Amino acid sequence: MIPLIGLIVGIVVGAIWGPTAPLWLQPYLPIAVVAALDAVIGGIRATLDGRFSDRVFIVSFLSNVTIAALIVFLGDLLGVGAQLSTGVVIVLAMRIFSNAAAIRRHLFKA
Amino acid sequence: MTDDIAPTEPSDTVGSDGTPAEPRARWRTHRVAQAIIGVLAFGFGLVFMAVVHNNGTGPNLATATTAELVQILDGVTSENARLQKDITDLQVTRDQLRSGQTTQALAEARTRAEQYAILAGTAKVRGPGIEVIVKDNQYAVDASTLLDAVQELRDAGAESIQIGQIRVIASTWFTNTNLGVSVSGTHLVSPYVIKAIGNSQTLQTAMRIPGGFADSVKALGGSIAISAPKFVAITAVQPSN
Repeated sequence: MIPLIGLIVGIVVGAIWGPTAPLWLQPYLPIAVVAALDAVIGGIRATLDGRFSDRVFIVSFLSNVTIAALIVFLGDLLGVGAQLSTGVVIVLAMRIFSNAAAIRRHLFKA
Repeated sequence: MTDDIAPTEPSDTVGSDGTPAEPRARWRTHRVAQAIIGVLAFGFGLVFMAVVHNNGTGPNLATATTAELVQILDGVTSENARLQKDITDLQVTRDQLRSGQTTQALAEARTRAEQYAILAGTAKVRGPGIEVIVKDNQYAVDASTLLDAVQELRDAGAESIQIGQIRVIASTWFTNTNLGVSVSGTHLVSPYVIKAIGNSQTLQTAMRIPGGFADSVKALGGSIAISAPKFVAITAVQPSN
């Protein structure tokens, strides 16, 4: 319940306030958001599986976001930022899809 | 790949170090974790909206990578070329219209305007046709007889018709007066001169059809003379508004 409220409040505040991230952070935000999305979907799946853990969720969320941003940063340093971003997004999207499939099986038994 | 899924043991029954936790401490940890998750969710929503907002304001050149910049530049260049081509095409069209090379369309439009002017009666017409002179000294030829004549001429394909100095158009009306006929408000007396342009052969036949206009005029005691000159000139025009 608390996460849902936090999410809704965050979206509403973001929509009303319209924040702009600092310039140096902007290249990493989209990929960080996708990573966070992956962690959230994974959390929902774990909840439905009945094995959700606060600790694991928090750690995975933060590490996912950090690593994703770090990979993009490293890629930019090496001159393969675009390609590495694509790779990260593909991997995260695959995970999101497989977790979504598990959620779907839980909710619709199909 | 599934690092965010906890071990099979639900964490509620096991402490962080694997031993059963004190209920109070466990409860406090749980609340702290819930609060952190709430904050994370809040931050997620906020950043999500920030990214969406950022993307909504068009391409951000300041943070774009070299590859992206090249792509944007390519897009702008091809867009520019496309618009340049549009400009050239439109300029060619404009020059053509100005220099009157499209006179064909203009001539067509003029022809059509002429046809409409003839139909509307706003233009003078000259051409083959017939001239009918009706003499009626007993004031027996009335409006309906003249209207019959006009109707028959129209049926026979008359392009334009004139009675006296009145051009007959779609809205022309006929009415009886004491000493003759009023055509669209202009008083006419015998002899009535009817001019019609069209196929003179057909028009003459239409006038002389048994029981037709010529017969009615004769029956009313009038006389009728039909001639088919080479050129009939219809000079009366309907003032164009």
